[in-house]
Amino acid sequence: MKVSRVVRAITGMGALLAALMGYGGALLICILIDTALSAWEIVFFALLFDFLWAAPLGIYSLPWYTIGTLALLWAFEPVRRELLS
Amino acid sequence: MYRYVPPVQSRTRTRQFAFVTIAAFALIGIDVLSHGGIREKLVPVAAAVHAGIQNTGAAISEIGIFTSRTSLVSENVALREENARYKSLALSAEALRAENEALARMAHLSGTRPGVTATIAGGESSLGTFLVSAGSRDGVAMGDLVRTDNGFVIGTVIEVHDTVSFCRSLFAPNTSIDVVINGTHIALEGRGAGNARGKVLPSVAISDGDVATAASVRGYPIAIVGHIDADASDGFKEVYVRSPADISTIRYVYIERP
Repeated sequence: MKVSRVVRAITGMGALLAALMGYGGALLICILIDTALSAWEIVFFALLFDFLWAAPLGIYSLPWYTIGTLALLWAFEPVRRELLS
Repeated sequence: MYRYVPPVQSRTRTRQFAFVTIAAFALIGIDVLSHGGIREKLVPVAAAVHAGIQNTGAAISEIGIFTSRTSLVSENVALREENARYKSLALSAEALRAENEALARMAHLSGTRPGVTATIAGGESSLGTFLVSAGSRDGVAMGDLVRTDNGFVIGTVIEVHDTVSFCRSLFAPNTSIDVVINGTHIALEGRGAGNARGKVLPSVAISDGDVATAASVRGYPIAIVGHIDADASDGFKEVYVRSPADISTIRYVYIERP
């Protein structure tokens, strides 16, 4: 089993818990790690966070965590391909 | 002409990202169009997770795992407060025990002489009067004796109302009472607060701790000799007596009928 898969599983669980509990800082760390590993499921955890915690604040029109996660996934894909592949 | 061809793995990843992006925006769109339909289903899940984690944290805290210095300090404070509370309860229990013993002795008095048990409703005044919580409805009459749980007489009833009665201390200031101490008749002068003094000849054998009885109160004991001053200038010994019961501290008395 590759180390990256273990890390991906751990950060995935952490991101799910952080999204449900509303821990934005912990979720951000998980997002950074998962985007480095091209873990696409992190987008849904970011979306879960936005659904639960951003929408009640009236900023639902701008789901920052989801947008940021997608931007990281797309923008850094060439870098990942060059450095991490 | 050179044309870049991404590896298969990269193309797969790009398709995954595209799918995820479309799915994310689709979910956002559905939620907006359904006026929060997705969120309504997620909020109870989040609430349940919150409750579960809080309960788990409380259980871990109760077990004591991961006990920190801060929690130990707070636990120490709580234990100190609990200890103080138990000490207070112990003192209360001791007071109740003493009260119970006093009432038991009162019950013994009531078995030997007719009367009624009452509480001291007010402390002794500067005139030597005090109030008890028993009156004519309880059968209290003027001249009744006020006795403590150990049988000493501390006063007499001087005024009776329906539910309370005024009493006067035997050693009220500026009063005198004839007593017998160790077979010697002595006239005691009341000085208030359960104290009195008298004079006897130097040849009279009286010592500390002797009991003073009074015929005016049916020969019951009323005081104990506390001090004897043999150096009086007028050639007499000065005898100081005191009542063993302090009206301001005792709670129950027995009102004995004649």
